[in-house]
Amino acid sequence: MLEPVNVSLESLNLMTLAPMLIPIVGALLILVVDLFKSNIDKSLYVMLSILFLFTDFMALAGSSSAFMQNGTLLGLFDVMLVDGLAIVSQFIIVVASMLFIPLALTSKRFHEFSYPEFFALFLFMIAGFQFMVATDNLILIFVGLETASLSLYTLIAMHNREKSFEAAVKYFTMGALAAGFYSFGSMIFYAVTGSVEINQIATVLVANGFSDIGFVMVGFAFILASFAFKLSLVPFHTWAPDVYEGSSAAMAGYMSIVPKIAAFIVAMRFFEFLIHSGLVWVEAILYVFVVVTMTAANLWALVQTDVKRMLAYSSISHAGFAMAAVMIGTTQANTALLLYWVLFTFTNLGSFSMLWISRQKKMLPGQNSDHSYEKFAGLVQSSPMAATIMALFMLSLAGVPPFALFWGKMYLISAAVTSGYTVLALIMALNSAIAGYYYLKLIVYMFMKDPVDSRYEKVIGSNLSLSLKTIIGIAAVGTIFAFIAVDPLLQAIGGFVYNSGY
Amino acid sequence: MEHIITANPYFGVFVLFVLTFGAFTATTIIARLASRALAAKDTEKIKLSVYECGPEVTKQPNRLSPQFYLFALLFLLFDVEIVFMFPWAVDFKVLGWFGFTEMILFIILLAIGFVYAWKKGALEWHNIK
Repeated sequence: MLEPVNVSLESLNLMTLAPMLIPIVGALLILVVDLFKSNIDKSLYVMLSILFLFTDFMALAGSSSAFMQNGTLLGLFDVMLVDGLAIVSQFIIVVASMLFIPLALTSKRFHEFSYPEFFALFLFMIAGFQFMVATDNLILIFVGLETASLSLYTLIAMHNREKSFEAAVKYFTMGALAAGFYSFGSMIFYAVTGSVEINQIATVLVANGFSDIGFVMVGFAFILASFAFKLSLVPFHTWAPDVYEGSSAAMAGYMSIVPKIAAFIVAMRFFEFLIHSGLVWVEAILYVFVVVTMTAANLWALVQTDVKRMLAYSSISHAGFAMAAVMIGTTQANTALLLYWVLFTFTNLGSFSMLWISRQKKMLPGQNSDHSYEKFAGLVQSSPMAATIMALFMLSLAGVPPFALFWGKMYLISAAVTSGYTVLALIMALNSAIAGYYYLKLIVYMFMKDPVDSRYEKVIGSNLSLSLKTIIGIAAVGTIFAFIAVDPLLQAIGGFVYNSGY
Repeated sequence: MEHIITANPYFGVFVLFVLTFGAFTATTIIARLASRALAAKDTEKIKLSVYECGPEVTKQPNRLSPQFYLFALLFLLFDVEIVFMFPWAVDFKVLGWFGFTEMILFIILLAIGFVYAWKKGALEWHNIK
C-alpha cells in the first residue's frame, strides 16, 4: 500500500502565489459579472481592474517586506521563487498596468473596450507575466509566457482594424516560432543536465565543466533566439514596428514596456551563470546583439515618416541599450537595468499616450499614416500645452538632463565603464547622440514649422478625456521629477537585486 | 482496494490503450454503417448539384456544422475532468486533504467555465450569442 501523501500548507508557502492569484480571481469575476448583467458601462470594468491591480500591489508590498526579513522565498514545491528581481519586476508590471488601464476611458468609443473579455484577458496576461518572473522553473516560465502572449495577441486583434488583425497574426506567428525555439532550447538543457530549474542547470553545468559544450551551444542559440524575439533585438525585431503600428497607441506603449521587462528578468536569470562561466563566445554573441540592436534600430528610426513607427524603432533601440546590462551582468548593471526600465515606463507610456489622444477614427484625404510627422507640425500654435508635454517626453527619451531617462542612461553607462566595457560605453553614448536627431525632429516639427493642414488641429486632442489627462499628468510628473526619486529608487532596487544574488 | 500487480507497471496502461483504440474504431465504423443504413437516399442529380452560374463547382465531400466543434470543445471540458477524477477517486485516501482541496479547486474552475458556456448559450443548438 502507498504511503498517504502529507503536504502541510506551511510548506507550500501560498503567500508566494497570492500576487498571481489576485488578477486571476479578478478576471474570472469580471467574466461572471458580465454573464449575469450584460451591457454594463466599461468604466465599471476599468475600476474593477484597477481595484484588483491595487490589491495585487498590496500583496506585492507584503511579499517585499517578507523578502526583506527572510530573504528569498520558495513556494509550491519549490517551483515559485520570490526573490528581489521577481518583486521589483512585478512592481513594474503592476504599476505599468495600472497606468495603462485608465487609457481605456477615452472620449471616443472604441470597439475593444466595450467587451468585458478585454479586461479579463488583460488581467490573465498580467498573471502570466507575474508567473514568468517569479520562478526559475523553465516549464512554469513557458506556461506564463504562453498565457501572457496568447492574451496579448487577442488584445491586439480586438482593436478591430484591418491593420490590427495583420499585426495580431504577425505577432502570433513570430511568437509561436519564439515559443518553439524556447521549448527546444529548454529541452536541450534538460537533456544535458536532467533538470528544468535554472539554478540546478547552472550547478550541474559548472560541476562538469561544460563538458557537453556542443549541446550547450545549440541550447543557448535557441534560448537566445526566443528571448531576442520577445525583446525585439535585431535581427529578430522585424515584427515590432508593424505590430506597434497595427495596435492601438496605448497598447503599443504597453507592449514596449511590460512584456520586455518580463523577458529581461528571465534573460537575466538564464544568462547570469553563462556569462560568469568564462565562456568567451557567450559574451561575444551578446555583445554583437547589443551593439547591432542599438545602432541599427537607431538608423532605421531616422528615416521613419510616422511618429508611431519612429517610437517603435526607438523602443527597439532602448531594449538593446538595456540588454547591455544583462550582458555586463554585475549587480550594478542589473540595478541600472531595473532603474532604467522604471524611468522608461513613465516616459514611454507618456509618449504613446500623447499619440493615443490624437487617435483618428478615419484618416483625412491624402493622409498616409495615422501619426505622421505632418500631423504634429505647428502644434505649438494650436495647443501649446500638448506640444510642450510631447517635447518633454521626447527630450526624456533622448536622454537630456534632468529628465527621467538621462539618469537611467547615466547609471547604465557608468556600470559599463566600471566593469571595463569602455568601448561599449562609448557606443552607447554615441547612440544616444544619434537618437537625439529623430526625437528633436518631432520637436522641430511641433515648434518651428507651420501647420500643414488646419484640419489636423481638430484631430489632436479629440480623444482626450479626464482619465487620459490624469495618466499623461502622472507620466509627465514622473519624467520631470525623476531626479528626486532616482536616489531612493536606486537604493531600494540595489538592495533587492544584491540580496537575491544577481 | 487492492491494486492489481502486473509484471510491468505500465502494462495496464497498454491494455487501456488497446481497448480505447478498439472502441474508438468500432464506434466510428458503427456510426458510419448506421447513418448509411438510416439516412434517406434521394440521389436526384439536379437536386444534389450546387447552384452556380457558369463555373463548375467542386462538391465538398462532407460538410459539418461548426456547432459540432463547439460541442467537441465542451465535451473535452468534462472528459478531462473525468480523466482527472478517476485516479483521484481510486487514491482518495492516499492523497488525503491536499488532494481533496486540489480537486475542489479544479472543479470550481471547471464550474465557472461551464456556467460561462451555459450563459453564453453554447449548449443550445444554433443559438450562439
